[in-house]
Amino acid sequence: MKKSLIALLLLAGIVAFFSMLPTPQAEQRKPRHTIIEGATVFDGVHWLSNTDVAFQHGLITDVGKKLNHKYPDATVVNATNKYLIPGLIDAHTHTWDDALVQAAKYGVTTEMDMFSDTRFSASERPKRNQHTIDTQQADIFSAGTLVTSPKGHGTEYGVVIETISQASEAQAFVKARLAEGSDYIKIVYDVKQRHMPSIDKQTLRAVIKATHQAGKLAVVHISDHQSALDAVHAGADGLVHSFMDDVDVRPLATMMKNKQQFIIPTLSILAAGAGQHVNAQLLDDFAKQPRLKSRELVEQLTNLSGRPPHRAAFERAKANVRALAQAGVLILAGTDAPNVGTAHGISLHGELALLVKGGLTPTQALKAATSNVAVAFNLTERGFITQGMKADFVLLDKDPTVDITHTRAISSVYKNGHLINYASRQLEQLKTNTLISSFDSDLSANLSTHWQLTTDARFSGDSIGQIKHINDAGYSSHLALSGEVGKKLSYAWSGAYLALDASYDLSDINSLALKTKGTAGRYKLLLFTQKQPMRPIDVAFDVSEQWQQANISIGHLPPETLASVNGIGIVAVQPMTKFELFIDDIWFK
Amino acid sequence: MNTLNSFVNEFSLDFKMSWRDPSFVLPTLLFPIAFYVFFGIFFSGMAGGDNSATYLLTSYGVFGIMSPALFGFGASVANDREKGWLALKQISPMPAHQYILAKLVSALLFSIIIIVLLFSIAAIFGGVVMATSQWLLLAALLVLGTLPFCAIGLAVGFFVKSNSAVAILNLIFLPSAFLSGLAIPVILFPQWLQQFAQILPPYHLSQLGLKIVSMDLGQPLLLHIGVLLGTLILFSCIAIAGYKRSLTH
Repeated sequence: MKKSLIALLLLAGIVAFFSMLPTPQAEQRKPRHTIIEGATVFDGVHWLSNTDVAFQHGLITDVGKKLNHKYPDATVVNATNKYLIPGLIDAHTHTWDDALVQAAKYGVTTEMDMFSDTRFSASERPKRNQHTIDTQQADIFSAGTLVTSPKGHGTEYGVVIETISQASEAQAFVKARLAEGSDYIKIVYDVKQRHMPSIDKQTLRAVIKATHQAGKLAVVHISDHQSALDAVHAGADGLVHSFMDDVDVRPLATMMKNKQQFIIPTLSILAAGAGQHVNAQLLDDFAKQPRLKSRELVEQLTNLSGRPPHRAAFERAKANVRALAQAGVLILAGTDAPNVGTAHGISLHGELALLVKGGLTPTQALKAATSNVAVAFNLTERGFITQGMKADFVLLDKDPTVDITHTRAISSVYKNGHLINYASRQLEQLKTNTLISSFDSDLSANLSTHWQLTTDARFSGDSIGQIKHINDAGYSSHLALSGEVGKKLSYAWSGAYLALDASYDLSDINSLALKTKGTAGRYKLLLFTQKQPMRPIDVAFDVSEQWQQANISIGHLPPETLASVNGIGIVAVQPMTKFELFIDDIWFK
Repeated sequence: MNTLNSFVNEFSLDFKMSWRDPSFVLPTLLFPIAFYVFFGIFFSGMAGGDNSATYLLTSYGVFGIMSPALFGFGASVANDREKGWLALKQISPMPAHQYILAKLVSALLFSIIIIVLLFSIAAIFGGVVMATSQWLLLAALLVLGTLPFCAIGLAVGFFVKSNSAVAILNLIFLPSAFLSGLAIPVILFPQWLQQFAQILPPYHLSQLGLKIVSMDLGQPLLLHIGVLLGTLILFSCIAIAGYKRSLTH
């Protein structure tokens, strides 16, 4: 009897324990959903006017009207008169270094890599399955090492790669690629072997067959019509380039349509190959958005390494795309960045415009960079704005159906539900003598919103405070704080808080300079950083009863903790009780 | 009632013996807690950004339950066998399976204690917030996940002498815990080490746990369950063979 009583008590204890563990509902500071409200939404197929999109933990939870009634505690982002499209997918890239970070800044939230170092994709690939993390970069799918013949295209870059010489090696070759983690297989095939040797038709066929047996997609790099025909005959799932031949493409188009094979025309790279300068307007348009720093890309986008202009060939390339699209072949937008004349992210906006010049409607072009890629590559969580998809979006200020170049009017980009942050590099430029607030007319600040009151009340402390803007008859205008530091919490505080509009890199900043006056004593500067979400960095400084200039040194702090500051606090702490504090002219020095 | 009584007595005896053995209790309870406090709370933010306290709760949970399973179970069976207790129990009126079952329940109870301690610290100091279903699922997974490691411990315990059993189990425990990414996430490993992790049961248990909080690497659920079940069955068979061998020796 006694023992069963003990067992019962233990059980009750465990039940009580689990019911006491903190759950997300209990945490009030983080609302459960975010709603992008009132935008015209392109869901990957249709345009939905005045529609709300709700997401949480990096995934879309709801698409509809009046979602704020359904999720009353959600954070609402007003997007009236804006246009929300799925995060763009570049279907043909070569990805390394900071490509994924660059891409995301331009709204490209997924890259389909078509050959790069397998070590890069191996390290970046797992991130695409984590919905909640704030990666600040695009996700990657990768072909890994391409399939080419000895001395064939792909071997000329100084990186030693495995090659294939005959059909009998296909099984083992494909198996090796899949073991390296390839998400799909990319094959180089050139029937004419004009510039470099290529695998033959039997090998092409065998590699495609082996890939299909392994349940993966086989896509083929071609650069002429005959190679395209061979690849399509051999059962390729898609072609990763188009061609500039002067031929009737209708037989090819019919076959591709019937066998549901797709094409990534990569008009951007064909244009560069034909010596066509197509990026002038692209650069002009993005120059209006200095935060993107597209000026750094001018050389890369305009220097075509002396390729002779061949206008007619490029016109034929566009005509071929038009014919393929008209026949109903699935067209995907891809750039081949960062090859000559292209760059990650930005060039997809150029490609969209080229596709429209090649005969697609703006909506068809958007599909080519979103849902078509998802359908073609069986991507399950992207390319659409529907429930269960990743919260990857681009919010546009202008209507892209009127003019496809309006995709360049990027208002903001979301990756996994987190805003892409353009600011960290901005501050480096302004590193010395950045004025935060002069308090000349109100409590506003550059880089941000307004100074607000902050106290420990939200952690059920008993500190109180008041914040005011004082305009002393034109003599001096400043911020005025008054209040009382409570005794309930050991870390009690009361003061002013400035939420920055994004995370800033303060690692080059030496000090925060400000003028102060008030109840004499020791106060604290708080820097809220993403590095330490639970507790801010604090630096003490002294205030006297006379106006005086204070330089609060932060130069000695570890630079990595200052790399992502998203809030600043100036607060009174214990042993201070009742206090008054006046602040003016806050600068980063 | 009689058999239940003898089982309860055997179990409480075993639990008390373990509980009073500081060389078992201290490392078993303190190591996962100490590691979690250090890496999950003090140095949080270094391993996985904002979510490292949640990530490491899962991995140190796995680390925590491995130890009572391997040592509380395996090493103590080896010890009992060497001191002749096992032979005595085999001829005693109590059914032999009760001896094993008592040890198993005792190991599970230790797992539960570790889970409760870790969860409390994670909730109070680590700022970990999960849905009640996630807390429960993670706890249930960790308790069930004890079983394959019990089997490994038992298999070693029946075959090896008690001194060498502790050494061998330590050789299994620490490297496999580390190489499974329990201390450092596997993503940070070089490729070949990542692939090596695929054959380690703790890796699969921690991936299952991370699936609950959507922080796993996205491998199929059935792969992880399959490897763990396979481990359980394989080592249970080895343990049974070892038990039969102990009857004849």
